[in-house]
Amino acid sequence: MAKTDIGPPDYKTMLPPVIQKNYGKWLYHEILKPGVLMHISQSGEALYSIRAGSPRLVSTDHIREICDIAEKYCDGFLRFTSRHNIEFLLDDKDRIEPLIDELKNRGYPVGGTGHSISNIVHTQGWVHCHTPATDASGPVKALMDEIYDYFVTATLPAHVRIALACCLNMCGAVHCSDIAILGIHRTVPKVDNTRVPNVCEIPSTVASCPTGAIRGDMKNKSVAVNEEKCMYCGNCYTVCPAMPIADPDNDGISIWVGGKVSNARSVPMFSKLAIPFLPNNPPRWPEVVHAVKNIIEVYATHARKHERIGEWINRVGWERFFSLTGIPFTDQHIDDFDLATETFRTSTQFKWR
Amino acid sequence: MSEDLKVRVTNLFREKSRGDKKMFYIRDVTKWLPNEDRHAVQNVVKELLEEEVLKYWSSGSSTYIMLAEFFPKE
Amino acid sequence: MANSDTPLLDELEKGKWPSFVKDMKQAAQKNPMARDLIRQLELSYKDKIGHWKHGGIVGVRGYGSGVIGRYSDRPDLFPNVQAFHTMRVNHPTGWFYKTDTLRKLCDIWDKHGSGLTNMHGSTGDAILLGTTTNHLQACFDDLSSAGFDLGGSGSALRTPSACVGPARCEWACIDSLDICYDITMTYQDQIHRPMFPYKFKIKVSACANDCVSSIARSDLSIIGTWKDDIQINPQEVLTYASRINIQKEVCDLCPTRCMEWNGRDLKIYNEDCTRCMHCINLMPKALRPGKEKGATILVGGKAPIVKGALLSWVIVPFMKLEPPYDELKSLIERIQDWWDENGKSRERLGELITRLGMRVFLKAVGLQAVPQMVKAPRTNPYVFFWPEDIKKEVK
Repeated sequence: MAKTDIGPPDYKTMLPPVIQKNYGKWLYHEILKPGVLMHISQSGEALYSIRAGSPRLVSTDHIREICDIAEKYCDGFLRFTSRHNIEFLLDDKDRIEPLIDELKNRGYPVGGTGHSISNIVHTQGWVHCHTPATDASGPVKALMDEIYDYFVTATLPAHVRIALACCLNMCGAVHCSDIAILGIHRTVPKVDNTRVPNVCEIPSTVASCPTGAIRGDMKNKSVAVNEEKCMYCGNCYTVCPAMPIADPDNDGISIWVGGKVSNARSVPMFSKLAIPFLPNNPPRWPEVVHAVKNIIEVYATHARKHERIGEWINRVGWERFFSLTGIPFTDQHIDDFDLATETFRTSTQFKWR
Repeated sequence: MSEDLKVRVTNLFREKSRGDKKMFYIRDVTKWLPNEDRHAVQNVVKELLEEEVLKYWSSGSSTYIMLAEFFPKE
Repeated sequence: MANSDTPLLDELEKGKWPSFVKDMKQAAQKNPMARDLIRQLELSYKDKIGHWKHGGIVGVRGYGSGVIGRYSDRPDLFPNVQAFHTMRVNHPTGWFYKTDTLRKLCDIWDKHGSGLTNMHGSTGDAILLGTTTNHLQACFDDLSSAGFDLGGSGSALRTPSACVGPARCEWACIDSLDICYDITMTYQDQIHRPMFPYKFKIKVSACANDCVSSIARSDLSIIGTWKDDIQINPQEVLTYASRINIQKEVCDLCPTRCMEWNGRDLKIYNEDCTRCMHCINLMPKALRPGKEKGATILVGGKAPIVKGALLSWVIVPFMKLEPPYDELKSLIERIQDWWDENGKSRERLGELITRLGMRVFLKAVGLQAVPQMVKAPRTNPYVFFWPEDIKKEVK
């Protein structure tokens, strides 16, 4: 019987010699050009990280191709980043250009460093999730095709982190992204009274609703949804399979902006609602791609150097964001969940547009 | 001591599984025995899981525990 | 090519960005599961709806976590994905790999599963995407003998992850890799045998840049920091002066305006510095974190469902972190025990603290209230006093 509880492979056995020798003794790093980082240690030794974009969904043959490249140029040492990129780790400066040429010939985009748009973090979507309101890999591929140049260059005021989650469960927590793409439902779940008794637990289904819209329906040994209070988050469906909520005609995507994870300059911030609904339009989600490109381009032309999207909007004001991007402001933008009043304007300090 | 607790937990699972409900959160189990030490009950449940009297069931987000004989066949 | 049976997905093979459809087709040529997967995805593109059902499975003996059950809702059309479970494989900390390790993983997965993976999943695990129930134990056995283990899922400690840390970053204030690996090995039982009210996530970032989104995404956030002064190299500052506008790009963007630049010398009033990393990010050769290093501990971070998203809250401004990290582990265990005692099923740590109150939480885990824990003191007057602090008037 196989041993259990052995934990992951020890990272110390995965480190290239130049890292083992200089672990904890790095002095500084520089971005030589998009996708090429140079790290210099206190002893003067150099490590180079060549960053290439990759889809998150990869086949074993694709991984073997990556291994072939890493063996040819980096003695078999590489890593993945927290945003699904690949980093080839080498200490031989002369192998950088041949590696970049080979990556380009094989269609690997080299970049994602500095003031660029890095890879889009995303969830499973229609590929493998049981509660999606949209696909994930598809919109990500469609969007990266259109903003490819922002990955391989570093021309933006600051770096832009985009993430996609296929429903409000937000696996991967896209809620602190410069631009978040979020799958949403817009219709109430349809309770199947015949199945609720044997596949659902009434108390936990009732407790699963953020707005208390679900109550027990003892007569039918089932539950009932108060349609005014339901905002279609789908959590009841997560705990009770007899409450399907997916609706091909009305599900779609919402766009959120201005989130930030790091503490640099300003504090971590949630993304805020920019566009409440765009239709699911596979295979290339043109409305979503257009909306995100528009936001990027308005940001690129108006923000100051080092200003993330959220910092730029906080400086110029949300009314300016909506007027510059042309995105309509609606009552859906106004919060009505807990602590909503914290987001209401309590001052006469505002701009006319 | 844990043998006695193990028997009591197993019987409670049988008793509570008589209705439609077969799957329970670990919190439900510890609440069946309010004046037993929570960790003791959890350890006994782990032993029963090891012995496959009980089985885990999870859809990925949260985890239930149930009597092995009620585990859904595919 | 004869007309393909995935016309919509074929559209996504075009374009400059590398295409996941190419990978799915690559796997589909060798594997019937992958073939049915891509055909089912095409149906989703046509119907605009997902085709996976609810379903639970835990196929690995001795574990209750690490495998996600998935069942197709059209097994009639796609029999090979009737059951298409995911296995989460705990990744080497920092996602460092040698190619022989990756090749072993691929060989095992071609033998037991669809040949498709996610590199990597949201918690950091390597995701082996899709196999049948009877393959799960055999696949685990091969993984284990090759030195791999499963990650966490369900009401368990989820796979901890860490930033690249001292392996490559000059800003690392703690050994995020060693801390993450040590915690992972110390709490294997918590990862593999779910016993919590719900999931519990730990992420370690070695500085305030927080490159693994610890504050945004984990119940317990560990962020490297320092207590003393930023180290300045005046010559290097001058070199940067010729390349960047130090006044506008550094001093003016400092959140506490604690820097002065007179064209020759850079002065930092460290008592006003909040260690946000911006000036260091811009001038890595000239400025470096202080020497007295440790971590800030925050708790409560989570995604929206159910009570709304939360960013982690500061509970320990500074904690020295030296192996074997006993103080950190003791705090983690006290926090988990209080949550396990008081949390309802599916109630995250942040939601429980909101429900019972930070004051109650701090007292339970033995932490002193300090101003660094708040952006501002309370504004409402509904103040609780501990009964034992109220002297009973002796009549």
